Amino acid sequence: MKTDQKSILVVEDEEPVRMLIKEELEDEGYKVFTVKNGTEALAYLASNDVDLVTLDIEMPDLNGLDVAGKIREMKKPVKILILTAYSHYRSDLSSWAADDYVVKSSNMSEMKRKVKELMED
Amino acid sequence: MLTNFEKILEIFNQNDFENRLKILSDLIRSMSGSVFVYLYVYEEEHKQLRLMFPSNNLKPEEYKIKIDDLNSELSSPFEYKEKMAIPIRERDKLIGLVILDAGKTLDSFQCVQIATLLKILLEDESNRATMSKLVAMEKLDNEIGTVSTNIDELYKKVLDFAVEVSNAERGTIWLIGDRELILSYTSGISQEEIIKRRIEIGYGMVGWIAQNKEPLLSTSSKIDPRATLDIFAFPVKSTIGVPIIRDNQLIGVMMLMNRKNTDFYRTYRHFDEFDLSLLVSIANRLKMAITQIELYTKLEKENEDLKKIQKQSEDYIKYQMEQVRLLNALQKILQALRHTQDMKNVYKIVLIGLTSNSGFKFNRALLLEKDEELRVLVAKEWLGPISEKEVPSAWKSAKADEEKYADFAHYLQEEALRVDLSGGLTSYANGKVFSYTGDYIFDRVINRSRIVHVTPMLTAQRGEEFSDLLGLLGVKEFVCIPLVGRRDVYGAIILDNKYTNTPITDDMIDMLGIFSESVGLTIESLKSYAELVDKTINLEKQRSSAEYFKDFLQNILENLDVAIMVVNRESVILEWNKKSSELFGFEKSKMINANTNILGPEFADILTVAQKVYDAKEAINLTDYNFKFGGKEFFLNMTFSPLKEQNVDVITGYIAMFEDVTRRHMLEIELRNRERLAVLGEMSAKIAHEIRNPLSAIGGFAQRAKKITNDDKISKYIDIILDEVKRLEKMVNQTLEFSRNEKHGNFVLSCLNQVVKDVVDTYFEKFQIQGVKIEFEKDEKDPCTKIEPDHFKEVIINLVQNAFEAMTGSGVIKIKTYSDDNYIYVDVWNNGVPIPPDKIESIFQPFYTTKTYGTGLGLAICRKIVEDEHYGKIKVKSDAESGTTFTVQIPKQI
Repeated sequence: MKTDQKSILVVEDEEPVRMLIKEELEDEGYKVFTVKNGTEALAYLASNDVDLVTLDIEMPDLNGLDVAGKIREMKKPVKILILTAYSHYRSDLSSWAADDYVVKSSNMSEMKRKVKELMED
Repeated sequence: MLTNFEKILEIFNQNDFENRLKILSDLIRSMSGSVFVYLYVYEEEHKQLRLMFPSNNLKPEEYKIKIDDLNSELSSPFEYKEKMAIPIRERDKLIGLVILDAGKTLDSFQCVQIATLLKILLEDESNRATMSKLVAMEKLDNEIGTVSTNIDELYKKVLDFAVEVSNAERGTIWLIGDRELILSYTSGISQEEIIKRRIEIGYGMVGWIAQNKEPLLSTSSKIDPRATLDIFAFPVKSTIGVPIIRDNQLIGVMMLMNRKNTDFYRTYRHFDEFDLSLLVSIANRLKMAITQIELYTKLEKENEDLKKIQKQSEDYIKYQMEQVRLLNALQKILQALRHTQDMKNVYKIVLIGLTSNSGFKFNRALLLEKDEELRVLVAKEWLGPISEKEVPSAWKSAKADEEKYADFAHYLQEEALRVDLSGGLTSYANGKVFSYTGDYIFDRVINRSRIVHVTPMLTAQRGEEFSDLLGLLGVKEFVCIPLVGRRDVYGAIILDNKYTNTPITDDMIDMLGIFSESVGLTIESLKSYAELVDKTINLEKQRSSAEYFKDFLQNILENLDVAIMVVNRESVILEWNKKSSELFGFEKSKMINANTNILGPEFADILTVAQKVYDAKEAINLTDYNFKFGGKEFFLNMTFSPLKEQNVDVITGYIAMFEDVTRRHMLEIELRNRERLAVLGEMSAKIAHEIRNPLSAIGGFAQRAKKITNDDKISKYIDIILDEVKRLEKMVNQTLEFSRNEKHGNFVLSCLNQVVKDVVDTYFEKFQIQGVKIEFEKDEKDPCTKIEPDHFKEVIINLVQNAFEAMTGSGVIKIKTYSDDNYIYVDVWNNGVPIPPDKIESIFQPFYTTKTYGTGLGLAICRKIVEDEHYGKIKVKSDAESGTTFTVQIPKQI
């Protein structure tokens, strides 16, 4: 049932945050799948395609940046958005496998804007 | 009778035996009337009658008439060959025979007369012979008396004499040897006639005499059983022999052989007792003469010995005199040395002394000096004539020079000053070097302080081992002496007699031994003296350097960055340096010699501590001592050290040192603060990160909740939640910003005017609405430097926002950029409520805030960015009149 609906994989270890992001993005009309760590994310992506992946950095097993690197190795046309608790990663973005990043905040508008931008690329 | 008596007188008046016989025969002729008268004498030994007169006109067979041939009893006249023979008898003993013409005879009375006369005549003749022998003995005595001391000559003379006087044919003297008799002297014997020259004691007559030490008379050796005929090749008819005995010691035997037939009066041919006794007395004389000779020889020898002894003692006196002379010379040399301080002259005096005529008289003297470091001897000076040719003139002039001075020591001193030894012989030796380690000669001389006398024999045997030296000296004999002191050997001197070849005696060596030590000691004491002089000079130098040192110390003291105060036991200030004046404000002139009370009550505690050094006897240290003085607060490091007299354990005061460490102390406090903050920041970041996730969820769901509620009250509550979440999120962001590890972000060359203008533009309108005006005064030079633009902008934003928040109501915020050679400055000024002075130090501390909703991290972050990231400085000045100014200063060149 392939539709025009864009799909997003949310990788987030903390359940409330995972849930919040899922609901916010579904409100925007995306099909959202969630996993709770990097290993699961890679497993999911091995058999499924999505348009965008949001990656938390601080996770118990794999670091979000490493996961991004591995996703890129899969050579899939997928956008990657990093969600970070820190606010100072901007200058190092070019060296990342990610396409963009956003500082986590209770205000989800910034995140949704970035997702939208990436989806329209 | 009268006629006969006259005849007798006439007979004895004749001095000749022949004449006496003629007178007797004339008497017989007149008595008998016979023309011819023949007078015979009877020889009992041969039983014959021997013709005595006349000795000629007769046939030889008529000389001897054997009585056995006569047919007569010989008691009365009888006819004999147509002549008349008349026997002459004396008391019935036949003594002679008279032969007369036939028919002529003598009567018995006449016969008695004739017999008496004949007997007297014979006896007289015998006596005369004896007399002549005795006279001869006297002659012998005289001769022996004048005989030389030569014992051979004596033996010979005595033997010849014995042979002659005894009418012997031959004579011998046998001297006793080693248990044998040796034929030592002969008379009338040719070499061919000798068969045996050595015989045993006891062999033959000679041996018998030697054995029995008795004289021996052989009437006829032929019939003596002791006669041995194998000694001589001639016939021995009779012998006499005597032992030669001295002091009961047999020394030999004298033998006479075969008596010559010359005595007419003798009625036999052999030696008789008289001959023997004569020989005995000759032997006695010989013995005496031998004794005399021996005595004389002995005397002579003693005399000789005496002369020898005399010579020896003369030599000894001479030797003694020479020794005394040498000792005196040595004394004078030492005396001259004592008046000299220059080592160069010392060595000259030594060399001159050893070679001069009044000194040791050596031909040449070579000085070798010891080089301790290289362990060699270095030839320095050599004194003496250069060549044989130069000798006479050199010595003549030296002698003349010497004689000008009465005193040898004086001469040595003057000569040493006058003479230059650098040329001459010295040029042959100068600089020559001889190792004294393992060297045959110098090892002994230097390392064992021995004198080495190299004799011609030693040179012949071992010369190869010191060929270098021999090559230089060109002699076969020399002596090398060390110059020995108590502490060391200073060198050596080589002496020789190249030109005179005078041997070097053991006595000279002994004397050189004394010389070597005395001169060595003198050199040592001179060297010690020189060292003493040096030390004295050094001491003088040290004294003046002590003055210098004192100034130097004073200088140091004055320039030290430490305050120094020296106080004595009576609490009087002895020293007060410049830094003390600077630190405490007291003039030096007032402090020196003042009591420590002058320092005032604030010092009381410090001085009490200082006093403790007297008991502690060691330095007391106080670190970071908080000292309030003259309205100021100091942190001081203090040290109180006991002041001790040099080398004496007496404390005469103390030295107080004050080091102002206030600045350092403050820096340390700040550093500690920062360390504390770093830890705090890290912790905060951790917490903040953990807070952010739940905060996002809370805020996120709150917003979702707000969207779906229509309840105003819930919506109002959700807004409160959202505001609080926003505040918490800001705090978390700032905390994370402050504590981030990344120090140097992306530095870009930026022009500060533009950076500041961006901020001003952002806030200009917003602030204007609230009545606050922003004025920006740009630096016309438009300074640019490398900065992290986002971070730097954040600093300006923070300062501008702070300024805005400080306002109550309307006001002005003035921003100004300016620069100098090294720095670019940004001033942010406001005229709002000033920061109280006691808070001014705290405003850069994190979490310090005066605002209700401030995080307290804004200025802390500013300082972190300016000072830690850009190596700049952020300062604040605030008071009621001039307002509050924050100044950011960043270097043009990082």
